[in-house]
Amino acid sequence: MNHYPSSIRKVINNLNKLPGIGLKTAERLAMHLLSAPESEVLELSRNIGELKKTIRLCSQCFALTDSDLCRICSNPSRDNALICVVENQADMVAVEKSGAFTGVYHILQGLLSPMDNVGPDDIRIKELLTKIEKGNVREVVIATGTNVEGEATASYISDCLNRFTVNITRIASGVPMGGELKYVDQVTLKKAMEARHAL
Amino acid sequence: MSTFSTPAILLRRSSYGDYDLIVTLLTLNKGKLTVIAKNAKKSRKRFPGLLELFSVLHIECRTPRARGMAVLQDATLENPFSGIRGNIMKTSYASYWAELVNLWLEEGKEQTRIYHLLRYCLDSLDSGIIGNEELSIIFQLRFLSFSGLSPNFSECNKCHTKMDEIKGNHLFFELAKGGILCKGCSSSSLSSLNLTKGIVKQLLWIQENDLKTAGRLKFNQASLREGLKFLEKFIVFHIGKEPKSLKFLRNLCSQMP
Repeated sequence: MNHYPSSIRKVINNLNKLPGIGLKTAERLAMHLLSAPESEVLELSRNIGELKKTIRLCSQCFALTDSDLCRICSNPSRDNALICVVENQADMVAVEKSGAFTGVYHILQGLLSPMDNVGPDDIRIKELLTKIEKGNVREVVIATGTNVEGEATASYISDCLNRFTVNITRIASGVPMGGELKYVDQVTLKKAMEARHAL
Repeated sequence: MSTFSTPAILLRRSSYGDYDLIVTLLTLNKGKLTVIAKNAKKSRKRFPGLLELFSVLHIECRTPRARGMAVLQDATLENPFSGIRGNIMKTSYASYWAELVNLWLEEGKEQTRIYHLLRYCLDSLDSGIIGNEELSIIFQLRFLSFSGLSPNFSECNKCHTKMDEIKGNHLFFELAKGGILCKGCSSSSLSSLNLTKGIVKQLLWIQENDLKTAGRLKFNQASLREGLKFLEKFIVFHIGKEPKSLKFLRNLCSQMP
């Protein structure tokens, strides 16, 4: 590393701080940037700078956006009376990719975690309650993960929403498509069996 | 390189890099144990739905020849405690107990009695046959007793007058020395607490009886609050820090709708 000039060393050090990038990969990327056309490198640096300046949270659902409302909240064809509660942006993208949901989202920005002392005030539960208090919400689908934190958060939200006249639903758990039963854990199988449906 | 297998309760899990998990378990045969579960996050087939908090597992681990963390090879789920996972209050109590065990126990020292205590309390919490608060009192008292910090409720710590013979309805409890004091022996120390004789008698009864009998004791709301407040203070005093899950539990109790 000491064999490189200081400007290359700085870039290597910066790249090395990124997740999943070791020293060798950082060196390779730095060398690639050096040999790439100047316009490409300048565009990359400009975009990274823009990222920090323009990206903010949607004032409705707390998804990442570059305007006040995200693409989904500003879409008039979405059903605003149907809210899907997810942990983070990646979960929202996953549900959106499924194409099975036509409502809007509420991103909690985390899950309740007793062991890390992440309480109801640390995630966006109050904002969800405020949204529902205003009325016009027909159903809330709780789509947090099925780990302990996800289930506990779902239970807490459900307790909080009981005082409203709104349908509270939880996404189903079951056998994944193309999956082999022998690899499915017993909790999922139990839930799948309990929620079996007629053909 | 050697392998071993043992029943275990999962106390804590944290991510290690993009694919692996570091898991802390309370095992029946080897006490508290921290192992690495390679590819646990990446593969859906490796440990499907197994490495969840409080799950009772049967694990198989490989210890490296040189120094280093044991590697989790295989795990079978014995009880996932679905009743705990689907209830925020139960999850909070179970988290508090698991954190206490994790904070207090030394790695690699066999703790069979604490394993059975935690297992019993998680089973009862899951099934709901004993109230959450009552179970927490039982867990904390037993845990203190197995850790060598059992509070002395039977007689005054200084003059050794039996608890029943101490006059009055209030007693003092010295946190530092871990015992009750009669009015004559008490001094205005910062580390002393006031306790009613009623709760002292109930706690003593739990100490003197087995787990199943202790679970039958009924508390009124005031006694429950007093007992929990006392035990949580006593534990925090001796551990030297407030467990995060205890803070969470207190906040939750004050906010629950």
